[in-house]
Amino acid sequence: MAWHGGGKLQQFGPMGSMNVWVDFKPGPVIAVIDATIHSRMEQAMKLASETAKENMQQGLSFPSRPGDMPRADSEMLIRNIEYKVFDSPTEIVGAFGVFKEQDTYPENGKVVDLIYALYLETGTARMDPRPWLTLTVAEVWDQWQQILGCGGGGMEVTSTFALGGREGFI
Amino acid sequence: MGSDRHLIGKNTKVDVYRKVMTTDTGYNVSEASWPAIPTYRNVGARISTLRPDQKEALKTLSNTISTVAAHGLYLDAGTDVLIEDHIGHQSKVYEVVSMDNVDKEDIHMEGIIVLWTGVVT
Repeated sequence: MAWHGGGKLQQFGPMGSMNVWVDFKPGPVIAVIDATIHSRMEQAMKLASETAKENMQQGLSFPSRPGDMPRADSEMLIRNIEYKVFDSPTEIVGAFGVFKEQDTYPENGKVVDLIYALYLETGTARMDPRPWLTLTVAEVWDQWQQILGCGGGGMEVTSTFALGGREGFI
Repeated sequence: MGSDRHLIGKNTKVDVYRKVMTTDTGYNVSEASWPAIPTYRNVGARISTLRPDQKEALKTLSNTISTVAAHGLYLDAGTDVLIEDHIGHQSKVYEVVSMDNVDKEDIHMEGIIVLWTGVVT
């Protein structure tokens, strides 16, 4: 470590045949990483909520099998699956699921307690589980890992670059 | 998968399952839990990842520079470089002060995208 012109310098090197010195500014770096994680978290949660909605069994004339995704009798559950991303001082948190406590059928005004989304997941004394959250998490887990890891974020790798006056110099 | 019990709506206690995810970024460890989000008493899955501190930021920057070096990118001293590496971090935070013993002929850009450069003013 050294000091240069009032800036804090960090030496990275030698790496291969190079000695690289950079002016390290932790604030912007942290902000960029935060923003990157936040963006990827949103992508991961969007994927999960869409997967859960798509996998609900629509059009079944018979009950879903225990352990399967639920049958979507109405679109009440599908309509109420949402996602959100929020920051705490120490963590970036993503969530998907049912966040409202109740909703209303538009056709008859009947109010539905959305706690049934939990009962579908866990089952009750009279109903076997239809673990839609567990199944969804299992399905998207590898993709979450990819999104939150190296090469995530749907970014493409290209070989194009521009470097000051050296544009086009490859 | 471990579990503990949390209170959620309707005074219902549910087992909350947890699963740890370790990604290949080297710093990013996340934890998922479901079927309840206890703080908000919601039905859902939650995944959290720690925010980076200065040490992690420095490690990320170091990795980025290492990646640049590994690909033989030549950087002019005095340039301010916006780099997006294969981890996806991008930032205009590097003023390259000096580079010694760089083989200017050995430039390979696969996996590296330099988005913007400019002389620091």
